[in-house]
Amino acid sequence: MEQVGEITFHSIGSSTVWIVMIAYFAVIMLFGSYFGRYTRSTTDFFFGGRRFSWWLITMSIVATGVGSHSFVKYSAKGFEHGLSSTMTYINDWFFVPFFLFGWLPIIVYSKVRSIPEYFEKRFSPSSRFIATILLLVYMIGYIGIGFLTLGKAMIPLLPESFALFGANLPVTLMGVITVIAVITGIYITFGGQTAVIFTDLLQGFILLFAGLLLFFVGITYLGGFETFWNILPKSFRMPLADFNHPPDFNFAGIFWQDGIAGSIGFLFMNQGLLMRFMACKSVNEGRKAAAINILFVLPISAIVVGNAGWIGRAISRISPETVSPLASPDQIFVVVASIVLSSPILFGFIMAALTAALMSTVDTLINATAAIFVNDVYRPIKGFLSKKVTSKKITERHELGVARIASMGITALGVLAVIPFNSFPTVYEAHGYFHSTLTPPLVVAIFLGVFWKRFTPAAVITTFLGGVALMLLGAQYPGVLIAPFDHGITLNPDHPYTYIRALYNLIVCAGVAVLTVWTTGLQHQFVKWVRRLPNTNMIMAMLTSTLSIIYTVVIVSFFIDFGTINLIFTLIVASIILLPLVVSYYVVGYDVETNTKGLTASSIQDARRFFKGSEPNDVEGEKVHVNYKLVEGEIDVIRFSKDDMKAMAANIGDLVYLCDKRKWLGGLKSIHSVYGEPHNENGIAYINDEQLKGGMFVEGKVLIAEKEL
Amino acid sequence: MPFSHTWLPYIYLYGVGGLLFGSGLIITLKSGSLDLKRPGHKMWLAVLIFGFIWFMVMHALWNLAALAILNLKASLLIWTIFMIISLGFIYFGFIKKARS
Repeated sequence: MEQVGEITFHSIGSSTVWIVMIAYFAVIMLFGSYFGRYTRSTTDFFFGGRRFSWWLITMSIVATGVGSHSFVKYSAKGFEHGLSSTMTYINDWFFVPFFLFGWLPIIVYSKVRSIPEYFEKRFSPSSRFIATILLLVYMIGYIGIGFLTLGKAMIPLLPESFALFGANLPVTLMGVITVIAVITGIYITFGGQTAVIFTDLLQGFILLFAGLLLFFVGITYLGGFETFWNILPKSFRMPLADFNHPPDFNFAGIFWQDGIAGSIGFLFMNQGLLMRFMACKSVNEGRKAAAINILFVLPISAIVVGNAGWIGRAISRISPETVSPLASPDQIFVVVASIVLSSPILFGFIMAALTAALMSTVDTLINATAAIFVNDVYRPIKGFLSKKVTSKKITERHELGVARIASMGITALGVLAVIPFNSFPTVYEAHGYFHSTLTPPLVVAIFLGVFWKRFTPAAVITTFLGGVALMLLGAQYPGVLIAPFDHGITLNPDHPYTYIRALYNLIVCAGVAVLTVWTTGLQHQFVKWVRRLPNTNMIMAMLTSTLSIIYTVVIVSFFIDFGTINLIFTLIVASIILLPLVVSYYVVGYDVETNTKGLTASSIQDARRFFKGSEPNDVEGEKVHVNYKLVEGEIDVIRFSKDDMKAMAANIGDLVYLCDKRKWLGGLKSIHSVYGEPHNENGIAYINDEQLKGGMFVEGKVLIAEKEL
Repeated sequence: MPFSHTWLPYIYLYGVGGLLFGSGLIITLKSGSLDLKRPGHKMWLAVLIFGFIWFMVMHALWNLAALAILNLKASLLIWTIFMIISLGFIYFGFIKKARS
């Protein structure tokens, strides 16, 4: 949907631009395909073998982050509101302690492959089921946002229509997106996570270079930084938006939508990002990658993605005939790039970098969603239907095939998800609405699951269902329910409280969670009482049916207005009271001590013990340079000399990381294993054939060994 | 420029954000996941606190420059010095320490 009076563009750029773009994509795809050979199992396909250095992951995250918080949407807001378009990139630090020392070690040490799997371990299979549904909706929605942005970026370069076999075919947004989806799907399907990480690494560098190049060329075009600064009005120079005005871009709303829900969502439940951190060689490397990314790379990225909008606004103030103040915000990036970059080769390069960045985000998300599908849908269903035991190799090969087919299906669903998001004026608002609506239940559940030992299965399920029900009610009656939290933001009837609804949604989900935990004692008393009754099963069946009816009515009321908020609200409150009773009855065998061991922040030591299989060895040792020697054997151990083990302060059974010494490889050629019985050959590591293949070590190249745990 | 566009968002960001950040530090310290007795964790605590100050200083300088209270060049100079110090901090804290 375009704003009234908005000017849109078509056919920007010459054939040279297209040639440069196609050449760029060919190079990137070849680069990714090369690293596809490092994919030997589903662990490699999804997690890249848990081998990479922090700097490699930091740079590969750039392409993922910059793509998702794209050039298009931040340039649009930069054009409309100035430098405050950067604020969403510079408000992520508040949750970093929770992430670095809570969630990150837990997901790595508990060896979960997906967020829903964590829910099963921490709570119950039913929690995993609901979390899977919510997470798949979130991820597919995210892919939809990515495709929408890609389509909007490409449209200005294309003609309004083209002739094919005598027919005049219009160029539509959905048509463009479908073509892009096919290209994206091909390479993610055959590459896997290692391919994604390496193409993202390359693109991370290119993106920063391309964005900064555009900034410097744009500034030069305007006559220098001071001129640019002085052209902008004061309100456009501010780093943060006005507190509560206008409804489509205000500080308070964006703080809660992006700084809180978005930041936790991005760090805690973006499976694509988590898989990057899980691809790091250790938890500490993951911490470094996250810290450096948020501290330094994100502020630079904020300039990289938003500057076209700022320059566009500055040009429109001094030369409105060059850039109209009414230019379509979502097209401003392409328009400014075409104006300030006189060379079609440079313009083609910038456009290729932009679209490649968006593709990086989308392919990461597709890969991540496929991981969730295989892990949380395919495996449980297969396990339920067939008890046939197959060898690990056959299972791996089969699952790899399933992952690839799933990637294709998810790509198709992502294209369909574009339709609802296209109704928003800009991608930024679509993304804001998406974040504030879909993240709160999962964000609250993950957060409390990790940091609150008393958070029970009954509480998490009630948070999911009761929280979502209250969120639906808030969406239907924003003037009544969200207004008390609106911080003075005006209600826009077309898109009511796009951002600040995140605060309401977080409060209702957290409120339901806390109330359910506080009444855990009462729930247990009820279960004890009802179990003593002669007709227990009938009572529970009636309660379950009542709940089903209530939730059906709530969902129907979202589509058909019953004209009364009181009835629906009363039903939801009733469901929030009944649901924990039913869950507490059916979820048996949950024990707070056993089920939270190694899965909450207060039991990280247990998690480390579980990860290693024995007591962690925290004695600091040195890194040792070795050459490998191939020996017979299938047991996954690496044997070092007694002196080398002493230098590493390692004992038999400790975990070891063996890596090619060349730092620029970033850990690509490396393996994890266990220390075996020592020998007497100093500087030599005994490895077997499988380990050699896994690490892809090169004969004669020195390796570095270090104790992991 | 109204207060709602100058310092109110800044105060809100680092007030509410600061409360969340502080509670994050307290929770991770109390739970033992950030354990100052373990190797490297003191350094991490310093990095976390530094990060908060880093963003607070960045936004404050930017606000001052945008409102023309502080000269643009002076703001950029202070920012650059702060950046160099922080990079040195990361280098000596992370990289060099790890190498030695």
